[in-house]
Amino acid sequence: MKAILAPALCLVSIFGSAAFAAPEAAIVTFTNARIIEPVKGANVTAAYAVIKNETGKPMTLVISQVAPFKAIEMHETYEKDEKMGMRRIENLTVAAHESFELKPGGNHLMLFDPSREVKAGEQIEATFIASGKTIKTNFKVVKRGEKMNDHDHH
Amino acid sequence: MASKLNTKMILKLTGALIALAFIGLAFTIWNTMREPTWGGDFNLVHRDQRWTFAQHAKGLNLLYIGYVKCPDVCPLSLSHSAEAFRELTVEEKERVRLTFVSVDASHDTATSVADYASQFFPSFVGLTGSENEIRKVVILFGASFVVDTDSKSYLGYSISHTDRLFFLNKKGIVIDSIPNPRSSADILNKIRSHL
Repeated sequence: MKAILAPALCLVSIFGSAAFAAPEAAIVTFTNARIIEPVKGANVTAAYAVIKNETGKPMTLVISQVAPFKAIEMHETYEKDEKMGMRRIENLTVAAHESFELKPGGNHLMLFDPSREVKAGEQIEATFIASGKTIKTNFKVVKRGEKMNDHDHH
Repeated sequence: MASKLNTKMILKLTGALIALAFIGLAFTIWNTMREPTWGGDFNLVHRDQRWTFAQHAKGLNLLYIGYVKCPDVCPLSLSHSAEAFRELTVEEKERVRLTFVSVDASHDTATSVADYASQFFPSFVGLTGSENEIRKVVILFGASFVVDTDSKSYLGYSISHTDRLFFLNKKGIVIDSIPNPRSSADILNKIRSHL
């Protein structure tokens, strides 16, 4: 059990009320967390991940910050009258012990106006608020279409 | 004698009228049942020059309509198309081109559209134009788009648009299409079937 929890504890930081207490178990884990390398000419790009709620209660997740992007939003993709569109959503709710996938063509993170060039290969820290707790995790910048290791947990 | 001739003439005329009526009815049924013809020549802007489809048409032409600030739908369709293009032989690549038309006349510049499209694959051509010119092209291909404003969003707007890869002949007439193009293999097969 310790062997299973140890990597997750190393990769997900939780800044709760007990700042100097022993590390808590991860309340949320991220798999295949990736940001698509922005395309020249566009000031937006998307980010995807599989988010697992490790707790026994539903979890509301809000994206807070992904430096160096000036703004971040959660979006859902929809189809209406033979047109595809996207709209901003305030948050995401993940059921207890369930996973939710932010994926191409579905719900995703939309990142705007990077203040510097963002290149494939680098790791970028993202900050979420998960049911009131601050969660920091790394997203890997990848070229679109680039395959990631399925076991790439954060 | 004259009476016989008149009767023959009347019969012939009646027969001709019935035949014409049948032809007219058949044409009306065919015209109602057939698929509408979409597409044709169009004129937009590529970088700092006017770009007329007919002057640049290849044997086979692919067309996708979207916008540069689309973070998910357009990049998916264009990246799958690019993947298909990378599988083509040099000779096949010479005979096909993909054109990306931006419907975001207010925000996408001719340079940004051209840069955007060519990054997916070097031969992809990104076009834009005035709002009126773009609307004409969109209607020509039976496509559509709607600009939705959202004051809480960073961009302040988003555009829902037709998500379809059109296959055009040399005259710009739509000969085939793939809705929601999310498979490079399907795109590649379709390209090869029309080359």
